[in-house]
Amino acid sequence: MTKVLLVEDDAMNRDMLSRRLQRKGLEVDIAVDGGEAVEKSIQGGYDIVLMDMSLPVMDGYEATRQLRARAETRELPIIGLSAHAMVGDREKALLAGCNDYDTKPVDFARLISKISALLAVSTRD
Amino acid sequence: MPGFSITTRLIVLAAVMLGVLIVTNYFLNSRLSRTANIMIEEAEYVSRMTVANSVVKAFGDLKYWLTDLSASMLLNSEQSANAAHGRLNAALQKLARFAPEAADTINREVEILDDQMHQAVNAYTEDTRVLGNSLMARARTHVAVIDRQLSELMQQLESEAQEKSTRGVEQTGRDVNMANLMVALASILGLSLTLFVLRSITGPLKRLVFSMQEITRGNLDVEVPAETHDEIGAMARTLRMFRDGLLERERLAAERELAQLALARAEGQLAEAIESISEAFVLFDAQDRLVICNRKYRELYEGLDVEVTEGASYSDLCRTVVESGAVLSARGRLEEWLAERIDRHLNPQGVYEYELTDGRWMRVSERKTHDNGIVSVFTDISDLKSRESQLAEMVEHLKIVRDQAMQATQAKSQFLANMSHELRTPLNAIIGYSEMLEEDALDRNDEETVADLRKIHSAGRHLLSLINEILDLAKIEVGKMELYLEEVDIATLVDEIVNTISPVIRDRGNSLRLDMEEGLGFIYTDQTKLRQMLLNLLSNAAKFTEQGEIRLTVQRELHGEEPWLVLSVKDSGIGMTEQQLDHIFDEFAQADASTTRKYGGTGLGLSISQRFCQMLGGSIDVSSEYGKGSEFTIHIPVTARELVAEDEVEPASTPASVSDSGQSKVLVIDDDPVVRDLISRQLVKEGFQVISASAGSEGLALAKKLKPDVISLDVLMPGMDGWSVLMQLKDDAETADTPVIMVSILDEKKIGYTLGATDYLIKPIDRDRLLQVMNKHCRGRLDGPVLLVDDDDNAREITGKTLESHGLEVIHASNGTQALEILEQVLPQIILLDLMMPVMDGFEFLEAMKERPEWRAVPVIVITAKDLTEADHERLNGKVRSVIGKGKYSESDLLSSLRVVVRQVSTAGNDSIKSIDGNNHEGGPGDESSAG
Repeated sequence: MTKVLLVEDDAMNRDMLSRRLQRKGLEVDIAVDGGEAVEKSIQGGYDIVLMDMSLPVMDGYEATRQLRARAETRELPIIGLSAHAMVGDREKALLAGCNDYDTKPVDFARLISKISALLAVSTRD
Repeated sequence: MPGFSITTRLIVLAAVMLGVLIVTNYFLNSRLSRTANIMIEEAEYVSRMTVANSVVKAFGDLKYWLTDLSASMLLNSEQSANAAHGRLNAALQKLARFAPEAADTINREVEILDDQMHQAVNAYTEDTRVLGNSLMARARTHVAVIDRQLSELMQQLESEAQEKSTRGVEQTGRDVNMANLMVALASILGLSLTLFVLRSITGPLKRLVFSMQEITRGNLDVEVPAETHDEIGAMARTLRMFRDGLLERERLAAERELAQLALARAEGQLAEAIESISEAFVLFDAQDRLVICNRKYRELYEGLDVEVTEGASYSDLCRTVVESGAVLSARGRLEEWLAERIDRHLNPQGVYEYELTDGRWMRVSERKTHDNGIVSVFTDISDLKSRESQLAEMVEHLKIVRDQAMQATQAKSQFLANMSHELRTPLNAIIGYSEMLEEDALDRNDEETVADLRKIHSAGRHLLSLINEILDLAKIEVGKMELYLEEVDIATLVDEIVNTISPVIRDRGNSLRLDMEEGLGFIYTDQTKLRQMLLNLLSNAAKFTEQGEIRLTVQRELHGEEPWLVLSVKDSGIGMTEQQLDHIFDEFAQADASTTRKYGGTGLGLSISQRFCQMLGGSIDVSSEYGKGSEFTIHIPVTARELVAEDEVEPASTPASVSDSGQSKVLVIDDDPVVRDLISRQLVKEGFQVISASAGSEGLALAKKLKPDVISLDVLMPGMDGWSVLMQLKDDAETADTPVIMVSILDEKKIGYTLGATDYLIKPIDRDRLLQVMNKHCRGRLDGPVLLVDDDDNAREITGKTLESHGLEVIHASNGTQALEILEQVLPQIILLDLMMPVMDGFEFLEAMKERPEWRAVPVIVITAKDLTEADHERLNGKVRSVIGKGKYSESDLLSSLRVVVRQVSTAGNDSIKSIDGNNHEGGPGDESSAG
């Protein structure tokens, strides 16, 4: 089963997204800030990370950069999510190392298709 | 007589006298010769009488000797008688020459006598005395006859001679009289001629002498005798010239006197003027000696121990003032300041300002005169200084305001980013949970809950789109909207959009028709933005149309060489009024408030679409008819230029060199690349040459270097702001005359105009207004030829001259038929058309022009004296660009109309025909809203 690490500080969104992902048959694990996200990712076992970019303590950009800096998580697919839709947010996320980016509120169907696409690429590799 | 020279006159006089002499002489001669003839005749008569006397004597002799013979009968007597007879015969012969009859008679009688005498002698000899006596008696009768004859002859001769003599005496007497008369006549003639000639000479001479005397006496008004052709005329001419010379001298003298008076007056005025100058004025000569100064100048030295009089030197004057401590600027460095001041005074370099101890500021303007003197003007600039400091304060204040505004903009941007985040986070939950619950309810077949959940979901989505749109607009406004240009397969994109929008369109019972040109291929553009625009237009169409048709047309068109894509969305919906159309692209402005209530939307969609379109280098047109529907058309270049990105690489998108192509040059000074790009795109399309500068200092340098026709200037810029740039532009003689158009989000027209701006546009920039302002201040590209169609030769001539004086070629036609003939030969750039003409009038001509596409393309401006009726307008609509009232326009109006039309035509082609009232609406009403 595909295992997703959902990094989200907002409890409601965390709950909503994780439940919707689970309904789609995904296994969801939770991290509430960047530090936790890095920690859990390094431990391994995730097929993909959904990373909110605005997080307390350590934000998503920094977390992504750290993940990309480590050998064990260098290839881990990460989709950046942000409620920011200002210019440059997408670029900033991609520059930090995200494989893809989407704005919140998420278009759930689009998010699922992005996840599938990334997984298809990573499994082919 | 005065027509001939004196010599001629004298020659003529002499000739006449000579002629008279000759005639008199001839006459006298002829008289003398006649007298001589008479004398000769008299002599003849004398000779005749002599002859007659000789006859008488000879006959006496004969008588004697015959008688003697008869008595003596001597031979001697006989011989003497014969001799006497012979003499008688000789005498008779002479007599016969003038009295042949008498001679003949006498001769015969003599013969008879001689014979009878001889017979008598014979008788006596024979002594027949009786016989002899009878014969003698008979002989004596003959003697008597002869004597009588002779006496008659003598008498006759005598009387004839007497008569001749009397006649001769009479004739001679008459001749003498005649001769006397002739001489008298000749004398009188000679005398009068001489007098006449003399008079003809002396008369004018006397008058001339009189004039000379008068002129010598100083009376120059005296009349100089008329100039005749003779020597006196020459003298008169000389005299006149002499007199005129004197007059001229007198006039010049009078003029000089006047000039001197005027000079004196001018000097007086000048002195007075100098005296009344509100500034202190002084003139020093080359040796720095005071020449003239006014009261104000003397006042500068009031209370000081120095004489401000002619000859005073500035160095001394200045030293006195400075040493008195009146100059604050010199405090503490007295000698140094003095040396600098005096050096600048002797070598003037514009103005010099200094502060006085009493708080006043003085400005000295000095200049060398042509003879190395120095003119100085001292102005009290205390007010100016205080205003300057006020202005500086104001500028400082404005800088603060600007910084605050920029900070505010920054803050707004940040706020939007945060708000967006803060708004989206709960929305995320709302939309997500409603979707989840909807799925649950669907699983439970709980239809009622599904419907409600869908409402929550749709409200959330709507809220999201509102946030997105506001965000988009904010991004555009702060210049942070970026383009992601890529190759886009246009057919695929359109199909995808149609698929997306079809359900929305069907919702209201509308049908969608797609007319897409084949083989559109790829375009290079921002796909997301194009999609957003098209979706916005289509959803608008769907929103305002019920049970109607929505038609999407996609095709290519050429703008000059460049291929463009045209996407048009036409609906059969509610349409818009003209008033609504005017504000269709304004933010937050839906057709009216009720529209918002009924149809929803933010009123941002069209505004955003238009901005996007402009970013892609294109534009959106709208036409609409109230109640019938609207048509929105997107025009974008097939290849969009990524200007924003380029601008970021090169701070100023300034062409390094600007060729002088005769185009109007516009310098755009703005720190915002999007604005620079927008303005330059719009202007380049209109045929302007655009140079841009991203900072004030760069703008100033370019303005001096390239001498643009117009400058467009932003106010809020980092570094040097627009006000400072404007002030410097106006301060520099090289750029002071260049019109500057302020383009700013600040509404500070007052400051702008005060500082010398020509016009003021408030951002966001209205394209038409921008072009209108630019056209007003730029040269047009009107280059003719202009076809002038008017039957009024005069009017045509005047208009033609006007146009020709601007270097335009003008072709004349006096009616429509002629104009059509000309169109066959030459295609003018523009046609000026009168409506009321004989043969073929303007309306018919316009009809005829429609026949050929190349004719249709020629813009027509109607110049008419006719008051156009509604029907006339109808007939003209779509065929002419503009209507000008005859005699109601100025030269510049006409030219600017021509330029505007030419510019429109050159840029817009045929499809944006200006309505004749000059407004730019292209049709009826339309609609506006945003994508829900």
